[in-house]
Amino acid sequence: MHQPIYFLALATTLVAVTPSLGAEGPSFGNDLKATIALQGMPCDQVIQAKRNGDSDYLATCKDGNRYHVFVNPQGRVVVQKL
Amino acid sequence: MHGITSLGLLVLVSLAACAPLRPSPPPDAVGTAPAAPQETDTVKNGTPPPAESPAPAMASAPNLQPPPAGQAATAESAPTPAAAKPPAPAATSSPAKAAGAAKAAAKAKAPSGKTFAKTSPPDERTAPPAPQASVATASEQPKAEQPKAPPALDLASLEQRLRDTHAIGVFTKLSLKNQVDDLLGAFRAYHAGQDKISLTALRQRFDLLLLKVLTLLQDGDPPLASAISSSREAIWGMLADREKFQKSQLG
Repeated sequence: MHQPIYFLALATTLVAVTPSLGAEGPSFGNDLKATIALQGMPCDQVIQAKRNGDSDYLATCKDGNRYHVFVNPQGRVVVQKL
Repeated sequence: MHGITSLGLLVLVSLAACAPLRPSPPPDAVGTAPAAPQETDTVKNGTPPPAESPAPAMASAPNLQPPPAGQAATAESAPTPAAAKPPAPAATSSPAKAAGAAKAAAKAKAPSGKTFAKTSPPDERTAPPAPQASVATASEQPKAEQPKAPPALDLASLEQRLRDTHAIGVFTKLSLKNQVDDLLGAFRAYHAGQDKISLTALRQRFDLLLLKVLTLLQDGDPPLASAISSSREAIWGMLADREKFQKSQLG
């Protein structure tokens, strides 16, 4: 009786997990780190990211640097050192 | 029992449905193909190489667009080695290295054919190799002509692949887009004569931006990184040339 449930659970897991195998992207911390680095500012690793709003974050790096990363109304990514 | 069978079928169907989601083989694997026909005429027994496209990175793109006539003409005349060579590091620009890659491919694929290639002299020694060689050369003739076609620079495809890649996060993509737009603005100003920035400075900015993109992609999406890297000179040619820049949608 438990076998159908087991197979159903297995099938569901396979369907849910398989697409994500090829779709792994960088973590959000890495995204913020790359964004900060693209602006020429130092950040070895983002250890904390606090969300202020839509596309608005406070990132704290492992080396102690803190940045305000946000998208301004013109659609530009702005990184401000705090 | 019937339920178990149906669930087993469900598992098979779900696996089959997920199969196309696997990442496609990188173009590196097919990058050595254009050089193969020159070396492996007698080795392949007429079987085509894995890929025949002169620009595998472009061929793997979903929507190929033929370049404008001006681009094609200049791609033929202007020496753009980076754009012409396949993106794979194994597919080097020098013919000697390409021949080495073809030999390696021949060794890996047809070990028995290697002996034919090594032992068969130019003159006819035995009957069996001769028909094979003739068949192979007959089928390889069109392939030898194909690599001469200029590689199409498909900016739209590269752009779409950049948008779709999971190797770069959303913030990073947006930041890169800002920088690309800034650089395009600088090129517009340069071609309009508004800015006194030199082409050398623009080249430095272009190289720096491309370096950033490649750095971001090289671990997460190597095929796209190599495709962009191999298109570097073609992109620069389009940006630096005023007519091409204005003909393209960038201007």
